Amino acid sequence: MKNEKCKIKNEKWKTSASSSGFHFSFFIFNFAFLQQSVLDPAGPQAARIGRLWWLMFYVEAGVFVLVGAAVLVAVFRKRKERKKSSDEPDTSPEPKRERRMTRVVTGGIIATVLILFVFLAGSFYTGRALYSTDDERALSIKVTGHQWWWDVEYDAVPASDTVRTANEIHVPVGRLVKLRLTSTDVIHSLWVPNLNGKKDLIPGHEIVLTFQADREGEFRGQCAEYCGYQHAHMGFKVVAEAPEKFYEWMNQQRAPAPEPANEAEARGREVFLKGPCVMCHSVRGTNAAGRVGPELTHLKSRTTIAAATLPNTRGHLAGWVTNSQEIKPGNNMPPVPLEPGELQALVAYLESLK
Amino acid sequence: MTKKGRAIVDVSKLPEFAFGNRGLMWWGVIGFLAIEGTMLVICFVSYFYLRDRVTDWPPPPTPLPDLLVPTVGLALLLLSVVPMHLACRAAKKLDARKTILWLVVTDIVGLAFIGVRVLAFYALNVSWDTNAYGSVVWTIIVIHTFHLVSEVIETIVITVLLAVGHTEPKYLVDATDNALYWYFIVLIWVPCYAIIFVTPRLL
Amino acid sequence: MKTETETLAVVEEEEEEVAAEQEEGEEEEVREGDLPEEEERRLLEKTWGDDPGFWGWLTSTNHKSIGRRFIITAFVFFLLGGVLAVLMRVQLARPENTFLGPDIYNQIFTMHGTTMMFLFAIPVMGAFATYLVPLMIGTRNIAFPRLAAFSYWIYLFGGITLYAFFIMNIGPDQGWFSYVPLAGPEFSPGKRVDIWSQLINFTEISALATAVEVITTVFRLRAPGLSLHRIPIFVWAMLIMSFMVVFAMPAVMTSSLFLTLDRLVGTHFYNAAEGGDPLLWQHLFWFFGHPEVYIIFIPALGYVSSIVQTFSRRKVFGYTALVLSMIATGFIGFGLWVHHMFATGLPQLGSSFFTAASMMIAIPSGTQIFCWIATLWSGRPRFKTPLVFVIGFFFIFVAGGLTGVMQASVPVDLQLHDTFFVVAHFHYVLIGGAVFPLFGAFYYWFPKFTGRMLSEGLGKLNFWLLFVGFNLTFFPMHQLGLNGMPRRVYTYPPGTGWGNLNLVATIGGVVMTLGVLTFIANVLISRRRGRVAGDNPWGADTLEWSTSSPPPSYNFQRLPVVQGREPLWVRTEDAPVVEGLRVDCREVLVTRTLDAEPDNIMALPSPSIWPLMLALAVTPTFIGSIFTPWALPAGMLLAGGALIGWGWPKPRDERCERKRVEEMTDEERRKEAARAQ
Repeated sequence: MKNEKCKIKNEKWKTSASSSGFHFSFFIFNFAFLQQSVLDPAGPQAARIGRLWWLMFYVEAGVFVLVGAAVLVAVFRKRKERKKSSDEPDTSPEPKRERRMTRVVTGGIIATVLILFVFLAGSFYTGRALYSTDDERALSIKVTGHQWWWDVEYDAVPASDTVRTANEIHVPVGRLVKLRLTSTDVIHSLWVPNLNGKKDLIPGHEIVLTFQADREGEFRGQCAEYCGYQHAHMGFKVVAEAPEKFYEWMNQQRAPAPEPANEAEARGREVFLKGPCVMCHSVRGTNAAGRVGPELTHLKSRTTIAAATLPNTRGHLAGWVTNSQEIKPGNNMPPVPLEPGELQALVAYLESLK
Repeated sequence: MTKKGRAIVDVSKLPEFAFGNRGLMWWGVIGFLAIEGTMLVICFVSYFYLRDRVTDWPPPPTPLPDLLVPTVGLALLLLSVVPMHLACRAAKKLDARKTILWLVVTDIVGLAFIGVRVLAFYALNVSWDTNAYGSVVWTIIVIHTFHLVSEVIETIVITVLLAVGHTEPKYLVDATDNALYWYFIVLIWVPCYAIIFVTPRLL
Repeated sequence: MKTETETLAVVEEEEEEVAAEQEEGEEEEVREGDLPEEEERRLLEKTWGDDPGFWGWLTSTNHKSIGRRFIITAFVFFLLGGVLAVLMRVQLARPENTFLGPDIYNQIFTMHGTTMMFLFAIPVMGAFATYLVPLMIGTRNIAFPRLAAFSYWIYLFGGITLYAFFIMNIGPDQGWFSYVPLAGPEFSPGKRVDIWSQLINFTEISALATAVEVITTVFRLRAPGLSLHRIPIFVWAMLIMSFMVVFAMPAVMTSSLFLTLDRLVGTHFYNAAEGGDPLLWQHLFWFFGHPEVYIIFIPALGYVSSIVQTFSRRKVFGYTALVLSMIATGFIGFGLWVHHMFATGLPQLGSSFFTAASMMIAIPSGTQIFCWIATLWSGRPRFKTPLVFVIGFFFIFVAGGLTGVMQASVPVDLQLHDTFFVVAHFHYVLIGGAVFPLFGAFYYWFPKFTGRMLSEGLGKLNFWLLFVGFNLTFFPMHQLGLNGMPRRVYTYPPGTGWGNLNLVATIGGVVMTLGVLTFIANVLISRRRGRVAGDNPWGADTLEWSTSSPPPSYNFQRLPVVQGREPLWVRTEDAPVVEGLRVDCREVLVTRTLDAEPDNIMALPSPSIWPLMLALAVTPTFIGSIFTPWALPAGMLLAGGALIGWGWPKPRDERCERKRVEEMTDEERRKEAARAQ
């Protein structure tokens, strides 16, 4: 497979990534088991940033200790009280000592400048490494931010092969991924700490964020730019899987929605197509083609609903359809009043959208 | 007389008013000019920022602004500096009568210019809610007009104040500090004019 | 050529005038030195004191009355902002908490940021400047005292307006940074954002007015001998802050004007669909927003310098280095704004420039810290509460500065931006860098404000509660940010594992609250029962300590003549004083900008109701323009009327004026004109 080649471009980062677990002992509280952490990189971009971060952390910890010690010594050191009336202010300090202190202070300033220069160089080279990773073979995905969910489209030629999903980005391990970020309403920011830093989704702009996952796993991300009422509930996840599994997923997503397998599902589809759902949602293979809300063609293949707010279970789906405002107040989906029988059928149908 | 044996710096003979940067008011006026100048400069920067985002300027189908009326206005405004300067010179000589005379002339020119300014709004050929180009040129010209009107009113108030007999030197000093503001309004209009009416023809 | 009769008529007129002047005998000028000391003090008090009663309170133009009000009001807003912070901490103490819903939480965090920035931090710094700068430079009032009064009223009314709307549950909820399009007409219908942007206008006008006063006061009203290279670091700090205000605030006024226009009359500044750009807002806002941080921080450097110098009992080490580094901070502060926008996908080269600039600002900050450590090292520190707060400042501020350097780096910032790490960082620099010095300053100058000392015991307790509580609250936030917790979320799911650290932070918040309560208790107790302070309880060096505590309305019976950088420490027995200002008029001595040589005399205005009137005219204009653009012309009429009332000659001040030029002879006129050029 062609993306095999770029699987691990740079072996070096791996060692530093694995040693980051060790760094953690410096913090009292340790959540290394989380799948949402800056300090547990799962790809070269996050690893490079992590390395720069640790460089800064150690140097600055040293600086802090030195300055703190200097303050403490300066105020607590024992002094020979020269005069009895020690409250007498010193307006003409001893020139020799002043000169000595001038030298020390100058030394401190020079050290500051040198340290900053090292940081600047480190920052520049890290930045260059992060942004020069553009690759023709990169997997290009368009992500559009909405209040409060993520619309994900896998670019394809021909365009009819485009795969559209929501709040879940599947990527193959070892291949560079290029996210083209934009927004149709307000500014959002896409951030998966384990993979790379964040980039904003701004109306009228397209901003590119690249990353590469080098190990399988699910990495949680969340909107980082305050985007209104439900900013807190605008999560998503990146699912990094082996290339074979990824292409399997891709093919499955490309297919239209499965036909109802039983009567309940068929009735559910009827409820879906006749109800207000179609105004906003689309299910390929039916005439539901709304673009306002998340694509539902393969809803059940996703593990969460409501932008990574709830697990995708039958109960939660039913609750969400009936009154999503209770779960995520202020979201743009109106309550859908349904007879209990209709609701059962609708959920059965949604459950069938694998 | 107080505290025996102390040397004394006697200030009783110092002048009790002073022109230009020796007085306090001058500093206040300069401070506010700096603030308002910065505000307009930020508008200019916004103009070029917005201009930079599109290929055609003004964005089609918006037509170019007219040049004739604003240019006449610019000439008129520049002209108003002359009577203001003469008023200022008279004030510095503590000649109240001449100060009032030239201030009246300045007021008339200022009012005439406000008339021309009303026409200049039509010369823009765009509304503020058409597009971002319209928004920024309207805002620049409205901010300037706001300052212009306030300044003309202030000059009229000072003219009246002097004319009703309040010719204490302090108010003559105020007249010269007010002139500073007038010059600012005139000078800052030059870049405003250039940006609103000339730039779209060049860029 | 005048005819003889005309000349005679003139002579007769002149004679009549002389007679008239003699009749009004009590109008005679009284100058310093004309009266016995006691009587002179009484007359000075009569001239400079506020008018009696409530009316006098409304019309006061005394910098100390205004400064005191300013400080108290700003502190009240600090408490309100603090209450909001505690509410947020309670909400975040555990995952999926339902104490506050998103609607109220979003309002609260917006109000917290807006209050702390615009209603507390900027005004309180200006307030200290209003109170202390005239005293420190040895003059009797601030330049443009009526403007100072206006500045207070407009600030007060702005704050009240904002909170009135908040109490009615229509407070702003778009964040204190009001990013468009979220704050634009489409995504924030209603009036919430408009109230916010009008509040900006209120407080900006207030801050700008204060800045102009401070600049003029420092440049022109210094006591003789206090040449520019001798003014206290505190005064330098206030001067640099004021210059920053003058050039930074117009940016936010302009950007919020654009926002208001977009919302009210349909302009398209930030509308990407019509050629506008949401990023324009961010550029303009942060062009103000970053200098703003230094507007808050630089005055704190002034407090720290004063305290370090006094309590280490030696003159501060590196005066020139400190002043230059503050000026450098002021300049560099304007070149950093893009580091708030690294995530918006700007070109890499441009970003690198801002990385370099952002790191560079650590150099002057480092210089300042090193100079103070050197001062303490070679001095003999006295462990009074103000110094203890400054030592706390060193630790917290240095930590915050160091995490700031991390975020100057684009790649690292992309990870940390908009997370709790940033929340931790800026609370370290703002609370550590500004609030701790402010508490120190309050303990330091309280004796001067009130005449009584604050309790040392309670002061130390206050410090430890604040210091421990602060670190407990904000240190865990670093880790929360690294663990992926974004800012401005009203809740978070349990699976994230953020619960424990948030709980620790909430407990820290409670401890901090106890610290602030201790402070309030200390102030309330000490104001009545504190030890009487005397003129100079700390043995400090600056001029405010040479007058009584609290200072009389006229500040100094005789303006001092300054002989060195530490005026009270180097003052000789036979130090000269200024004499000859009128005692029956509010005369101040104007000196030259660089060398502070006496130049001329200026009569400042008496108490006036017009600043309040103007504020009362402007307030409904601002509020009204939220609803209709026609409020503006209506308001202009009102405000114009108030301004004319303000500027029109008052009978009370007229006797302090020179006689009218028409009444002068040509000779007199020539002479006077020549002296005034």
